[in-house]
Amino acid sequence: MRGADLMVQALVQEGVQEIFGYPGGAIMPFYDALYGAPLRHILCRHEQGAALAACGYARASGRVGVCVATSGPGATNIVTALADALLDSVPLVALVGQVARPLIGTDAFQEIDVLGMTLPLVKHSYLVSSPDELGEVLAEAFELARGGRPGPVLVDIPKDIQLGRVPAGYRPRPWHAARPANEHAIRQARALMAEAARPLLYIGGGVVLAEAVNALREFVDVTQMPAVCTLKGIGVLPHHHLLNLGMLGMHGTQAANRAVQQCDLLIAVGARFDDRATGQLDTFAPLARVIHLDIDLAEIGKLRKAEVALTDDFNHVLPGLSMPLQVDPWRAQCLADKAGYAFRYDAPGPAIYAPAFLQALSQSMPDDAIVCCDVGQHQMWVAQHMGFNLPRQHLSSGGLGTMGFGLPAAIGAQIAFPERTVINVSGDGSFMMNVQELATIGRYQLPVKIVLLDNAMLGMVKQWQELFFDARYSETDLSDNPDFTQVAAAFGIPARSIHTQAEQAEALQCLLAEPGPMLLHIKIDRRTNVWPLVPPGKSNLDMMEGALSCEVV
Amino acid sequence: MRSRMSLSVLDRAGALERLLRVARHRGFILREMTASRHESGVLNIVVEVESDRQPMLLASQWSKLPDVRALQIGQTLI
Repeated sequence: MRGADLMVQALVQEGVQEIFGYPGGAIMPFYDALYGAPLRHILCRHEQGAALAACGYARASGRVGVCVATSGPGATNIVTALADALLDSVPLVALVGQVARPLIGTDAFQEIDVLGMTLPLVKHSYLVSSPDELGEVLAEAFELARGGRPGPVLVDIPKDIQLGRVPAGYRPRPWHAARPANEHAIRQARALMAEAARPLLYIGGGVVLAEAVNALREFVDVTQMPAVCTLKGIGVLPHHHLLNLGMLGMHGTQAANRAVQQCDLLIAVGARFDDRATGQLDTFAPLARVIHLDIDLAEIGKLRKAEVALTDDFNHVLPGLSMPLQVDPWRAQCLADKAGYAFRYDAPGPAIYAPAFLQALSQSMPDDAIVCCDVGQHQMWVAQHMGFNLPRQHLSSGGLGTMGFGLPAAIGAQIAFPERTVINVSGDGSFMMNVQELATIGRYQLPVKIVLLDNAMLGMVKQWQELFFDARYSETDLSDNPDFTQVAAAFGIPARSIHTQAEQAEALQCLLAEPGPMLLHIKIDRRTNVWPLVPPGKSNLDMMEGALSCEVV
Repeated sequence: MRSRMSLSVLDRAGALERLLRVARHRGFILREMTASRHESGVLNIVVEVESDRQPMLLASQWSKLPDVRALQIGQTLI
């Protein structure tokens, strides 16, 4: 069998059904083997779009996302998506064609050192050096991508190995059962919990990756402990859960940040004390002892010392920690803050107030809708004002903050779940970064709903320029944006534009009722900012607030 | 502070580069390094690194690399 045929066989035996890619010279043997194979290939219009779509697919489904690119520029175009997957622990396998082995190191056409280029961007990477090792490498790649703390794995495959004969037969790696939890550490953690008067749960995206959402919800139900979450932890606890104080950190809720600063025990579950969550690290949770649960030993003590660390499967650890806690006064204080500092949506006037619009969208969309956002102000508004009750329902580029993520991620999510409503909430800056993927939506008639919040600015950068750079608006004006409704129309996607609150309800109804793809363009006031905001280098208690005002554009 | 570590690493494409890249990125300066290859395809490496950061931070990052089969932190030298 040819190496390319083994590549296809490996994908099929790993349970892969859909892959995302873009063909080219050095990967042509694989595309030849793909012809007629029982795999659905989604042809995107840029390798970055394909790789981010695979990323969205993996984030939404929990399955390994697979992207394919050719050598040279094909490979260089996927690196942003690899980094995105690395920083958010997304299981991804990237198959990349390489020039034939005799040409490696000769600066051949479309030759680049892909292994070297991607070293910092992947969990692991391989350059297949002999036909005999191809099957083993592919099996190890899938095992690594999905095992432990998930992440991207790249396999660089020379063209002559794809074309040449390889040993037949592919053997996937067996699944490894989780170790039993560390009983000694559990006893230590329970002792800390019993002593605590103000315990707080700090939920990160690792809970989702560990498939431990139910275990965590049961833990909260038993302990009745208040909880805060990271951007990636949104949806682990239902939005309206009484004890869910919301997101912490730079754009977190007042209630969440106040609770963190006052708690005397912080139980971090699948969270990594990221700077966007902690603010100035040495002022973060200053009164708290820490119990840190994370599968990745390298996260323990990396940024904050933990009194007790547990690196075992959360599904084993959390039941071991569950016990009723007598913390009524603390819980009451947290809930009073939650009520007292709740977001307001009563901006005066007829203009569309973006947070209120997103809240209305959240209330109108189906309960299991998947929302993929891009990066910027709208990303934070989605996190703050849309309610998510399920894991993997809110897809957001957290660690890398990849503008241009949302549209291709929505494509991947829609491929993974053809029957669910998938909404891409984007900003005018981010949207233009992968706008070519409208063609992919058009080609496959994916019913993705695009909500484009357009303030004709790079809004988040503009906000920081306003607040921290004396309002010197350097290169953030995008008022020469194209007519987005015409752009969508050119790709065969219906679109409409709205400017006022009076149009909002009907436009949302129309968008969500549309059976196919649709773009809803919303003009918003560029003066609307994201609040609250913890300034860089400040404590999470130093939260700035701003006015609720906006005007019709 | 300076620390010495011993590693057993699978000698695969990029293995040494990965070690050195991680050390640099995590804030450690390489002061000394010896490596010898066994017939089994394993590299035995002894390194001396220097950093303001605790050696455990580098050891835990190195331990995550799939090429690394064993790692021991030796004495802290300074």
